[in-house]
Amino acid sequence: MLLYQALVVGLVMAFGKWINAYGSFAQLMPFITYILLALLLGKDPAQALILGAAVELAFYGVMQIGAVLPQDTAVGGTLGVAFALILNQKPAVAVALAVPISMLAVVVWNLLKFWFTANVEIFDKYIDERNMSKFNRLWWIQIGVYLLAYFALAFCAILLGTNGVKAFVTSIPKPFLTGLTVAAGMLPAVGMGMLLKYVWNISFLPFFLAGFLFAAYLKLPIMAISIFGVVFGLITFFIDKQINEVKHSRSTVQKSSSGNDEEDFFND
Amino acid sequence: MTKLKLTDREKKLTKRLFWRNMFLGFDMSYTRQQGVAWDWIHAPIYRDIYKDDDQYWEAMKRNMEFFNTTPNMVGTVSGLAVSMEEENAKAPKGSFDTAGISGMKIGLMGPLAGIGDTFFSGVWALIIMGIAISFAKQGNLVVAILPLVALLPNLLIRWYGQKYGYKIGSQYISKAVEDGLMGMFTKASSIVGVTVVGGMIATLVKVPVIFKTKINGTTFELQKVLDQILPSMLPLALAVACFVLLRKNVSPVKVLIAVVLLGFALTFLGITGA
Repeated sequence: MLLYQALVVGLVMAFGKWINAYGSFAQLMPFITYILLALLLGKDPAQALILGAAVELAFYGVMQIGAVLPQDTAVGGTLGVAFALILNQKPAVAVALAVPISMLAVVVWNLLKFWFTANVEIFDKYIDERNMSKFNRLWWIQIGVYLLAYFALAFCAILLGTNGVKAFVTSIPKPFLTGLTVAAGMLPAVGMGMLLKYVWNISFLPFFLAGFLFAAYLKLPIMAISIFGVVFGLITFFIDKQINEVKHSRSTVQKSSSGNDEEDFFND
Repeated sequence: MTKLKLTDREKKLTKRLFWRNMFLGFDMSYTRQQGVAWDWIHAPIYRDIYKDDDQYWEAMKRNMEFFNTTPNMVGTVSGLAVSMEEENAKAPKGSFDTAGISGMKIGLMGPLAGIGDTFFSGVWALIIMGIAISFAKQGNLVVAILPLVALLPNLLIRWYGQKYGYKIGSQYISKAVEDGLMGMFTKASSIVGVTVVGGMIATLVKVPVIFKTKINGTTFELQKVLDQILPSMLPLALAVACFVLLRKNVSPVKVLIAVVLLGFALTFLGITGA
C-alpha cells in the first residue's frame, strides 16, 4: 500500500516538475496536481482541493523572479497535500508540512543547477567537435535526471517518512493545532508584502486602498476587484499615452522651430 | 496591425519554433542561464537556415552565449533572432554583422523579462491563483478547467510575439520601446496587481479575534469593535507590517517565521482562535 502511494506521489511530483519547466505552465495550475494526487490515491478530490487551497494560500505571493527560487512550492505543496491526504489530516497540518518542506527542497534545485553549470563546458565541447547527436543526448539526459531526482525525492519522502510524519502529527497537542491554524491564516500576509515590495510605487496607493475597500466594505469577490483593477490600469495607460504624445509633439515642434532655442530646450 | 501572411515554409518553421521554445525552462545554469536551452531549441532551425556547415556551427557556437528572460516572453526574441539569422544566411559571407544578433538578444531580454515577471508572476498568476483558491476552498472542481483560461495569455504572447518578431522584425519592437509603450504597459499591469493585492488582503488574510470580556454586564467583543472601525483592519496592519519589513530588506524567511510565532503567541494569549 505504502509502496503504491509512494510510487504515485513520485509520479505526480515528476509531472508537476515537468509542467513547471515546460512552457512555465505549472505557475498557474498546482491544483491540477492536487486533483491528480487525490484520484490516484483513491481519496476525495474535493478534500485535496481544500487542503491545497490552504497550502497555496500560505505560498501566495511566493514567486520565482528570474532564476531565484525562494521556496520550492511545487515540492512543498505536493508532499504536504499528499501526507495530509494519506493520513486524513486537517488543512493546518498540510500547511505545517508544506512550508518547511518547500524551504528544504530548494537544495535539490540548487544541486541540479550546479550540475547543469558543470555540463555547460561539455556542451561547448560538443559544439566545437560539431557533434549534434552527443549534444542532444546530454540534453535529454539532463531532463531525465531532473525528473528522476524529483520522483526519487517524493518517492523516498512518502515511503520512509509517512510513519514518522504520522507519529509527529498525532502527537501534536490540540492548542498547538489551533495556533497552527491561526498562523496558517496569517501567512498570506507575507506573500502580499512580497508582491507589494516588487511592484510598489507610492503613486499606486489610491489603487491599493480602492482594492482593499472594495473587499472590506463592499465584500466584492476577487474576480470583480480584478476587473476594477484592469479598468484602473487602462485609465492610467491612456492618460500616460496622452501625456507621452503631447511630450513627443512638443519636443518635435521645439526642435524644428529654431536652432537658437536649443539651450531652452535642454534646460526644460 | 496588418495581417501577416506566412509562406508554407515559414508556417512550418514558426510552428516548430513555437513548440521547441516550450523547453526554455529546462537546463538553467549559473553561468549561461538559458543559453544552452536556447541553442538546443534553435539547432534544427539554424540547420534549416544555413546550408553551409561552417556557418551553421558558427551560429551554434555564437548562440551558446548567456541568455535569460521570462520563458513566456521568449517568442519575440526568438522570432526576431531567427529572421536575423536568415538575413545573415542570405547576405554574402562576412557582410552581415552577427554582433547585431547578440546585441538584439541582450538588449531585449532585460526589458521583456521586466514586463514578463511583472505581468505573469506578479499580476496574472496572482489573479488566477486568487480565484482558484476561492473555488478550491469550497472543494469546487471548476478549478480543473481554470488553467485553460489561465494559459491563454502565455500561449498568445508566445505565438504572436514570435510571429511579429519574425515577420515585422525589429521595427515594431524598437518603436514600442521608443514610444515608452513597454514602460506604460508594465505600469498598468502593476496597478492591476496592486488593486488585487489590496482586495486579497481583506479576503484571504485571516486574523480571527475571539477575545471577549464583560464590562459592567455588557459583553465586549473585540472583533466587533474592530469591524466597526474598519473591517479587516488587522489583516491590513499585518500585511503592511510585512511589507515594511521586507522593504527594509529583512529576509522573507525571517518575516515568515515571525508571522508564525505571532500567530502562536496571539492564540496562546487567548486573543485569536479558530
